[in-house]
Amino acid sequence: MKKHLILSIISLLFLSSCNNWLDILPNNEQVTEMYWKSKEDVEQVVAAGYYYMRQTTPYLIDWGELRGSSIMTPYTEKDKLQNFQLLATSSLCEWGIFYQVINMANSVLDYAPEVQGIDNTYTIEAMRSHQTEAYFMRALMYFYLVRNFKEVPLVLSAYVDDSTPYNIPKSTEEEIIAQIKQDITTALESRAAKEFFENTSWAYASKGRATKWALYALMAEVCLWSEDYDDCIIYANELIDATSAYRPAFVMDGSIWFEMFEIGNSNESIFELNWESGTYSQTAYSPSNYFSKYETTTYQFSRATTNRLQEQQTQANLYGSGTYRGLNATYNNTEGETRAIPWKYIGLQNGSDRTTTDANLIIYRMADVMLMKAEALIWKGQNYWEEALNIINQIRARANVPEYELNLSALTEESLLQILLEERDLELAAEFKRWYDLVRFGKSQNYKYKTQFINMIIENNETASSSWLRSVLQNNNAWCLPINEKELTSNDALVQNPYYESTN
Amino acid sequence: MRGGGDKADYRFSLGHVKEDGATIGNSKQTISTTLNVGYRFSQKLRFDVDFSYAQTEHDQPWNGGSETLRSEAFFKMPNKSPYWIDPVTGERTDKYFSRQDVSYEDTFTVSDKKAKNYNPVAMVHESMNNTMSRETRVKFMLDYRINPDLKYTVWVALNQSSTKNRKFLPQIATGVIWNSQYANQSTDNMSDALTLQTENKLLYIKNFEGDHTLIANAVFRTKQVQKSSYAGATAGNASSGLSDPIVGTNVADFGSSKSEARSYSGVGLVNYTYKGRYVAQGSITVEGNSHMGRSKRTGIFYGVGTSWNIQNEPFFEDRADWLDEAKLRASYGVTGKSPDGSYFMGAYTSLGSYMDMSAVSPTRIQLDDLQWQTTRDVSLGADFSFLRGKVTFNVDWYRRMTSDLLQKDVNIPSTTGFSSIKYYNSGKVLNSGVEFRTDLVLFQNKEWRVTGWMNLSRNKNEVKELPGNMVQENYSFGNGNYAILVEEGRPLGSFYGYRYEGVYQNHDATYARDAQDNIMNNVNGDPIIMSNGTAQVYPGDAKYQDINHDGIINEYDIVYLGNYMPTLTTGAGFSIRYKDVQLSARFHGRFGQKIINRTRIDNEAMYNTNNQSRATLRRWKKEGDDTDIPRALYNEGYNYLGSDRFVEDASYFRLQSLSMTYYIPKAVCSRWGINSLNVFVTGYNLLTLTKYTGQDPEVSIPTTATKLAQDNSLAPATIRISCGLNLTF
Repeated sequence: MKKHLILSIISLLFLSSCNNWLDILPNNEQVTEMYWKSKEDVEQVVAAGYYYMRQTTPYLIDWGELRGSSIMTPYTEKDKLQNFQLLATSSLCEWGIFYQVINMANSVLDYAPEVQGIDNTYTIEAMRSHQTEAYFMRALMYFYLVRNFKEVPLVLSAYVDDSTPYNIPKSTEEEIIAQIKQDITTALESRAAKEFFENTSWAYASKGRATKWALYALMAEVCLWSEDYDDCIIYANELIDATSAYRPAFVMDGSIWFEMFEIGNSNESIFELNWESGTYSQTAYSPSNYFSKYETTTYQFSRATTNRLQEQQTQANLYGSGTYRGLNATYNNTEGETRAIPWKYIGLQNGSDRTTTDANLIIYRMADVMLMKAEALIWKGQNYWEEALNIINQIRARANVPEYELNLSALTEESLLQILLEERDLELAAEFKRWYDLVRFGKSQNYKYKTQFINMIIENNETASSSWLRSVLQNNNAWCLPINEKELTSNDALVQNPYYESTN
Repeated sequence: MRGGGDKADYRFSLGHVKEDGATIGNSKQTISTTLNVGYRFSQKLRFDVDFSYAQTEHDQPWNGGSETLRSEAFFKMPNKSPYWIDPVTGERTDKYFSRQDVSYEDTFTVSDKKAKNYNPVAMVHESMNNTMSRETRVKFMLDYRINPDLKYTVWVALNQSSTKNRKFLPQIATGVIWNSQYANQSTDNMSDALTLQTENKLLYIKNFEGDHTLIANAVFRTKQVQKSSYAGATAGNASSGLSDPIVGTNVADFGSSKSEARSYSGVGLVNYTYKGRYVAQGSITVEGNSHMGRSKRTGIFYGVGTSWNIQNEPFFEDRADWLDEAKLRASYGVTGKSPDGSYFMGAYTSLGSYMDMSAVSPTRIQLDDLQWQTTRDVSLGADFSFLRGKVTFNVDWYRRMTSDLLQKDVNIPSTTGFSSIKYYNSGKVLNSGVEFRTDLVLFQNKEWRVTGWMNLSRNKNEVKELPGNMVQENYSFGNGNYAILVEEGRPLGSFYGYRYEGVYQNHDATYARDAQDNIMNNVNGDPIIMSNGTAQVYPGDAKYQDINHDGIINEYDIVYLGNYMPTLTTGAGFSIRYKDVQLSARFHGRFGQKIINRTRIDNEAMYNTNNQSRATLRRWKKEGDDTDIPRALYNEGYNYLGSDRFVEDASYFRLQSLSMTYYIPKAVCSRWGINSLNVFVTGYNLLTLTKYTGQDPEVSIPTTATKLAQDNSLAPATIRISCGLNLTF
């Protein structure tokens, strides 16, 4: 009996040490349980979030511009998106890269508190600051997803092992917007969002990473999208009326307007994705790669927009010394082509080509926030239109374009909104905002200006027939993208957008 | 060489084999040697040492496998010379002609490790792919008899193997421009593996007084493998003589890896026989493997079995001396399989940098829930032997259910931030079948002895449960595509396509007909003309069966075409001995499998600039031509959709070996002072009976459920004749 007991104890010990003997860590990777030990680990994952955000550039361009048709493409696959003919099998409606950013953000939010407990050099403020960056990333990515797909799965914790189910259903637009607002509010309330990033080796760390100002700008835009105009104005004022030395400021000198793009990381910029080719050879996915003066198969301004730009140019030449946001700034002409080329990412002010393909992508800048405030004011009512017009004129004055002198009582809400939309088109041309501007115009106040929205699309779109556009855009679900077929096959809790289900 | 005495014995061998392959540029040279020494310390204790060393040098063309070389040779136009022709004399020079133009016969590409569009003659003569592998093995064994019933054996083996591979892709074979990554590319690969294995075994055999026999066996094994490898490729080397990667100009590829795996297994087996008639057996296996996740690392498996030796029953013992053996057996066992590599741990790797910050992100999800792939095996069998071993039958029926199949690289929704996980347990497959074997002594007397054997086996396969995340292979309508569907309740290996009905001979044949064979008209009263997909059909185009009679050949007209699993596998052999001469033969056959002859598709398509076979000479040319090959088009039409035109029955029966041996008589041997001598001549693969039109019907069965069994000009089994002698002295 005793012999049996001893034998079984020995065999148990043997088995457990056998199990330890079988525990081999890989030689060329860091495993999850060895990671998350120091604040550098957290910062590296935050950097991975920005790294993946840079890879979303092609989607930001296509989703933000093509359907609005200020920028159009004669490409045969991409013009399907432009003409609202996209199918679920197309690679243009893939959202994988956005969720990779979200996974990074979720990892930081889940693990940073744990690391803060282990690493003595990691203060609570530093941890919360990393978390605000993570909140910003997550909120921004979901904001892009909700504006393009309307309903997407809401993933709020990182996927680390196979215990969490993979198949999640979609959440509604309201739920996602509420989550975005909650993320930003949590980030702001922690008071840990930095105004400025101290970095001796990289001078523009503040513009390339998410600061308090970026959170305000994002919140203003989200409120505008969800039609909370008062909140939008509050957050916009946080930026416009800020007094801190590190605030982003509306650059009054129009002659250096193009330096925002030629050099990048200007004072006016609030948040821009950074690339740098000289020291770090980071050029992949920069917008410079996607625009070209010589290849006419990439993006071009549509004829309608080209006309607007050229008209602005002639007017400014007639009444003054020329506009700062015209030829060799916003656009450039090729001989014999009826359509202009976007110049912000590929050219220099003197008309020659940019030497390096590392132009930054501005996500938010002050002019954008000011125009958001103007839009909110217009929607609020006639009492606020004068202030809105002043903002518009401020922007026009900076660009050296004649200001509007209008009789406010003779204007309608629609005409003032059209003026605003045109101003955004000229100031923020090729900054991947046009489609969202038009959708806000078409859907706000319960689709009040839907017909006018459709007319504007038809006026700018050159590749689809007007009867097609008119019939397709009647269905509000066609304003969104289809969920990619691969997602539907691997996630059986997902249901396709009803408009695209019928075209299968 | 072997020998020995009372205390010690030894065995020594040394061998050198050199062979040239069936395709030019293939050759292999092997040197091997083994030495075994055993020493008996006492009646109880014995010690053995085994040592072996083998070195193989394998020379091949750059492409490696000969499959693509042969199909490349098939594609080349017969009027495209592999050498430059002298413009004055019209004679062939010795300079290779390898110009590959995009507009004509396309440029050199490598996809999926297969190269395409190059000069095959230059490739076999000028390229280099030399692999030198060396393997050393040392094994120490100890055998100790503790008491007459109990024996303890232990051995430890150390195995070290290293492989070095050097490749050179010359620019004269590919015709690429000087700055391509394939221009004069030289590759250097090195890998080595060190394996340490141990085994401890205790064997207890005891005959208790009377009728009980007990055999008990306990085995404990461990295995540890350490591997490392390095690979580098550079391009732009000056010449084939300077083919070492150190000398090259651009680095095309670079990589290294290191890994370790450990496993152990312990088996306990008990076998009990009562009165020599009734046998019962049980075993338990405990296995552990470092590839499995932490929670499921140890797998416990078991097996039970029983058999009944009828011939020892008192009823038979005295009466039937014609019955040697009649045994019925039944058994049930569970075994497990672990994944191939250690991927269960989540890992983080470096991405690059954003501004001046370095970025690190997770590459894998941690797989804590990974299970062993379990197979449950039930089998029943019977063995009969009559007439003192002259007639023997063995029959086996088995039913093998494999569950928790390990699926590799499974797609997961990208909302997780990842696109796939390495391993996932899901799915159930059932394999059941019957095996039958007979051995017969057909005739025997003082001078003659004729024996024969045959076995037949039939395996039925059925998918019981589809894996949860199974993504079916998407079928897209197009030339040369077959559809595969893995369905529950059906066997693996079925493929689907169109039914080929020949060629539309004239305009009347191209009208669409309904089920009663009446011509269908459209709204205007004109007859509807059939279309293949979106292209309207003209006389001379391929005619496929319009299953749903809708006038269009598309995905709705796909039918079941066949299955690539064989219905019957067989082997047979015989041996005839007359005095000192012996003739023996071995046959092998597989029946019932259908495969797709991809070579015929490529050579009869008449779609692009590839060389075509003579079959296209009888293609349709004018109305009224009655033929099975459609008309020639260039880059258009759907004349070679995946249909039963290219599906062939690959059943075959092959004479694998036929051997004649002459045993030199003992008298002659002893006169010469040797123990024995025999000389033999053997022919391999001399005859193959098959209706298959391709080079070799023995196409391998694919390893994934969603791939087709296709013949891509597989190099055929070679007919070889070898002769030799065996000498003992």
